[in-house]
Amino acid sequence: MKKKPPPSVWGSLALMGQLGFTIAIPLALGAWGGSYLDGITHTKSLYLLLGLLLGLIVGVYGAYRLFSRFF
Amino acid sequence: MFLQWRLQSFNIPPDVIFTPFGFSITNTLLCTWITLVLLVIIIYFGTRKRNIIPSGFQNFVEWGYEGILNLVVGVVGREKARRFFPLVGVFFFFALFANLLDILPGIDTIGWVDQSKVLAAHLNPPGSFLLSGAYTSMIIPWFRPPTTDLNVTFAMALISVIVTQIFGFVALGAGQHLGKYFKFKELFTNGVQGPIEFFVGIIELITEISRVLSFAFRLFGNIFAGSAVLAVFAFLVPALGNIIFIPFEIFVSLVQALIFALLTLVFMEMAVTSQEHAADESEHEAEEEYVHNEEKELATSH
Repeated sequence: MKKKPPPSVWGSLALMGQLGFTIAIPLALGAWGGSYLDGITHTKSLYLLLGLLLGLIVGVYGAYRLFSRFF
Repeated sequence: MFLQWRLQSFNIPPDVIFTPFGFSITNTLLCTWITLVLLVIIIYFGTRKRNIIPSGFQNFVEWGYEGILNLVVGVVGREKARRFFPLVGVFFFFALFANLLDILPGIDTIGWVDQSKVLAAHLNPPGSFLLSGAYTSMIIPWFRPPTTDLNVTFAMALISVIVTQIFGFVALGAGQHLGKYFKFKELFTNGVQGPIEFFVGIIELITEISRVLSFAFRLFGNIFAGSAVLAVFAFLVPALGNIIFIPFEIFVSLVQALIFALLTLVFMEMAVTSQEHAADESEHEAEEEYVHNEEKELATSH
């Protein structure tokens, strides 16, 4: 096992700052797109929930990808 | 009456201050130009003499430049730093100076008097150029920090993401780079896992796009909020409150500029490494760099 250089402190802090946005923005986009589709199709909240679910999946996967370089 | 001031209203869109030839010049655009001119002046005077042994102002400019350069080299290694540093460095210094305008006196407080508001409040035009009383909340400021305008930060975020994509295309080739997002090959070859991997590729594409928003809103939100905090505390605790908040804003300006530049750097590095040997090359290079620096430090400390 070769010795890895410690990741730079500032680089890591910057990534921490990105974590919240990575989770929040797909959620918000999913909710917005879902409610827009609900408005078009006159469904009650089917697409809103689907959009939220998709946003959640994207957010969690994005967060995993963001930090996978450290594992 | 004379010593009464009112807190100005905070509007998110910037105000138009001149319209020469029908082209609207906003206060943030004016400050963007000021920032650029300031940067050019600093670089000009910092590199005018170029002594081998720097001193004075040249030393200061080199210190700032080398600080960022070493940070970039530490994250991606020397080879890639040569490609990435021009953009990352410009992002850092532009964002830093744009943010730091926030703490200068005169920002948000010098400007035209908004005649429509004066008329709406049934007041006479102000008598002198020093405003007091109700007029103080009717200013259209001439100067407003560029990064408190969503247009500026959005443009920076777009440049960051698009250039990252270009680096990805150049480093990996169109096929492999697009293959990160559209996994048609895996869809048909990997059996049951195929559709999942295809879906993951699409997710990757969405995160890529949502990064424009996260970059733009982080910088905009932090600096806009900082500017609002400075204004509010100037009214809540006159003279004393900002003894705490101006240093804090200087810190926030530095950190936000650094975060914007470093995140751009990190994502560029992610874009140019293919997924199969992600982390291999660059880590190897960064490791060599690290060992090299350690040796140098040891040598100088003895």
